[in-house]
Amino acid sequence: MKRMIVLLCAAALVAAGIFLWHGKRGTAVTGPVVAVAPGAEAIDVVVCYPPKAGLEPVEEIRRRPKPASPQDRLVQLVGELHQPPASADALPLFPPGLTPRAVFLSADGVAYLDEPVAALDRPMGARDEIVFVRSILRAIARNCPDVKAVVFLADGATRPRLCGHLPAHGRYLIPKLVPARAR
Amino acid sequence: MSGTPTLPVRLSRRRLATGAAALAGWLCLAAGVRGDTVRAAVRQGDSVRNLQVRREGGELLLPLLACGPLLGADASWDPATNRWHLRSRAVTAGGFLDEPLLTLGGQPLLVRTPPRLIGGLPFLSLEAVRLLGRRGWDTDVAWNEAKKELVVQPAQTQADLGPEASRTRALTAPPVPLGARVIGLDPGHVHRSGAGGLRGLNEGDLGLALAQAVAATTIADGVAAILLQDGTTPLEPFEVASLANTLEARAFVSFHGSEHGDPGVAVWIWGLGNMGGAGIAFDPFEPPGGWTGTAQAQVDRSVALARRIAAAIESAGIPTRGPLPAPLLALEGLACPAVVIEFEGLGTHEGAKLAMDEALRSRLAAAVAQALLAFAPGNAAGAPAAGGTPDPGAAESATTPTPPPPAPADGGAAATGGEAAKP
Repeated sequence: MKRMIVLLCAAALVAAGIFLWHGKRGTAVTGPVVAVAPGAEAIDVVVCYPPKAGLEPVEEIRRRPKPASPQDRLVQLVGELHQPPASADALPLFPPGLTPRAVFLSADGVAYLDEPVAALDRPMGARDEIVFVRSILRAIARNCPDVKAVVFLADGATRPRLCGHLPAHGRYLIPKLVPARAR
Repeated sequence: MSGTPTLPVRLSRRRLATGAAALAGWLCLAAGVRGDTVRAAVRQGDSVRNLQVRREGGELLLPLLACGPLLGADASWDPATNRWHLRSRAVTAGGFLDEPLLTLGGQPLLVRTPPRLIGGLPFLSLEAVRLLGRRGWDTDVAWNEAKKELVVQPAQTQADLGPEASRTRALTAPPVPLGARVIGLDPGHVHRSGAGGLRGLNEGDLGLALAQAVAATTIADGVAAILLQDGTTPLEPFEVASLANTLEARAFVSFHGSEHGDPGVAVWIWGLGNMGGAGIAFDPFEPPGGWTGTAQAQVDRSVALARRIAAAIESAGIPTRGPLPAPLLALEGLACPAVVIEFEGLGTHEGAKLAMDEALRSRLAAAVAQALLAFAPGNAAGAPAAGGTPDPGAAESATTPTPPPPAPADGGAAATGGEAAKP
């Protein structure tokens, strides 16, 4: 019994040490913890975030299980975009705790991203809104070559404005970019 | 081992327990997925009638053919193509079974539970009926679980349907001296609203202060710099544009602020393509020649104005970027050259310091005023740009009459906005 208590104390000390060491180094866990099973196919997901300065999105690469279809890949990417960035130079795209309502990729290559109204109704300047859209479209261009355009919806429907400065009553056409390659 | 018959699976207590757990799990899952028919009452005004609805996986499903009468529409479904429709005189909605994308008057809607066949008949989820009712038929559809009752009633509040649906508010145009050439100035937001920054900075107050400063500095014979909103009553961007168009503004400047970005000022112009220089294009749902097309027709002249303003601000020693194109709502629908001036980085120490610097604001106002007066018709010829050279765009604008805005999709009442439409 005494030996068991000593062992438990030692384990607790080691755990606390690891926790403190990681905390001190500022290690950030970004993205949902999705285990890639040994031997399973995996891909690099390029996640783009608004930069704190400038207009070029900040890119982060995450190793994730390979989705079965373009629709699944889009769903996976949008889920990743909802996670906070690891880079100190980047801003989160969405408020914490919110998840996408629905994501749909139509046969003609239009991605419909349906977010809760709370994810879009927040004070944001024109520049910040432009880099918000730019980051999402860049991420889609890098990961989902099947997507040609993006329509933003709030609670299932279009609305005149995205967050306040940009319109949402139309489609944002994806620029041609080199997509991320599966390893 | 050889020749001895053995059972393929040896039954142990552990395996029995695992099997029982799996069976129980499957049964629970099956119970959850299996649909139930619910006998519901439909309350619509004074009328109450019965309706069989389905409950599947926590979602309530309504027969498509019953949804028509609920919304005052005709329901149809083609089994050959799986396409379904709800049609009334003014509204058409439709989609395909097993697809979450619906269309309503050409606009997309997305539902989490797609319409589907149950027992050979098409069903719509309550979510879909609510969305269609709210946005297409001004009808609220609500489910009362305790009473097993579907309540259908006229919508209590207006859905956020955008400019096309809400161009009915009466606006009063600010007074303008007779014969004056108007320069429209837009604070962008009302007091204490919009993006926030350090030291109590906010987009609304900063925009109003800048617009007032420019108005006070833009002084010339025959030119009236008019504030299109006073910072107290929030106006939609299309309402501000309507006022500017009604006053036949010769140029328009809207002032904004952003929490992030590089300290200094960015100058934006309307552009459907190459948003922020990133190659992103915006393709509006509205028909050609509509509200978006009005701003598009002014792009060349807006570029000339924006270049002149950006050069003037830079000459005043203020970090400046642009002009950059973006489909900004603040510029949509304007029938004159128009720019957005945005103070970036209000949430950074350096950006806030610049935005709060009174002397810098005065220099900015003077630079913008100088550029506007040089650009405004009648003053352009011979007036040097801030950079020191005459701007061909300005000279062109001096002789090109402002074209009237094209009629919007709704027939035109909205483009000029209520009372503002009346001269």
